[in-house]
Amino acid sequence: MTHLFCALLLLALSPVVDANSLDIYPFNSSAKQQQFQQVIQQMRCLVCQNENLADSNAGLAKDLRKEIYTMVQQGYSNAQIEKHFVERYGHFILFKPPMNLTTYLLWIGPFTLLMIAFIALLILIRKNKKEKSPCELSEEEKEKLQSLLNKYNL
Amino acid sequence: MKYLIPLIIFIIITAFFWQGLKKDPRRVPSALIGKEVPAFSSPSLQNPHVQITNQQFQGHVSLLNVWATWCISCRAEHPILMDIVRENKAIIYGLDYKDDPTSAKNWLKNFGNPYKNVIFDGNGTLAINLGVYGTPETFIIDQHGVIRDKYIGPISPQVWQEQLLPEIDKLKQEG
Repeated sequence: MTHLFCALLLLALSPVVDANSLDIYPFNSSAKQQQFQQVIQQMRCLVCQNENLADSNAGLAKDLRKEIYTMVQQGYSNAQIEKHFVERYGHFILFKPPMNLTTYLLWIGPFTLLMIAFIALLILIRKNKKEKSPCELSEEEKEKLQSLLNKYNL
Repeated sequence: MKYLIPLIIFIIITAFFWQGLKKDPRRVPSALIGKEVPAFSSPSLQNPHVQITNQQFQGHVSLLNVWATWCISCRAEHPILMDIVRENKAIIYGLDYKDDPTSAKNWLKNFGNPYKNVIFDGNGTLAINLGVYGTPETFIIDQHGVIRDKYIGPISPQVWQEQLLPEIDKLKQEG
């Protein structure tokens, strides 16, 4: 019984083989295979929008992989392949948005907000330091404080 | 006064979120708007030995409706397409996407054929060149074969009346 359990556990933990590229799309050069892997990982599946073309099982993803495979075999560069699909599907098909005037805010935005937050924090800290006035006790309060400290051996 | 700044920031952020809620990320806008229909030559569904090319769209405003027999939403929008054609409001061409030709022909025979012509795209290559990523999708093409708009999803009577019909009428007046 333990043997069966161990066997099942090993089976469950064994890595899943990715049949998307190696089996169905044979390459005679490892450079082309790497290029293929690169491209399909950098492009979004428009059906399952959080998956890339490498992982998605959608029909469209399969079709696009096939077309990318053909283009890689024919010797197109990554840039040319990306341009081909951006012309048809728009920039959304790439995970990395392009760096141009409209997306400037998208790229710079997070860092800018972080800087603003950081500066605001610095200003706040300085303001707090200045406002902290020394605590002044009257003579009576000082004696009371001293007796309490003595009482508790502080 | 110092409470006003966070309030203003909050209002601005809320405005952005409000706009964002209205936008459906599944509706990816077409990258081909303003561009001519890409050159193609594909067989007609009804007459497989006849080739249909992008020249078909010249000379009149038309709709190109991407559909398939396996697409349930296409079945849902079909009656509206029939109405549009029956009332002579627009010319509709069909693009049969990754379908079985026999099933497609039967489908049209049983439910009715609103299409002036149906392009058969068995392996979906023409659809990829058009930037199609799902069905149904409907392109609005002007008299010069230029794609002017794309509607994603099944056309409802409301969408037809309020959005697509006015666009088509405007294009007809331009030409």
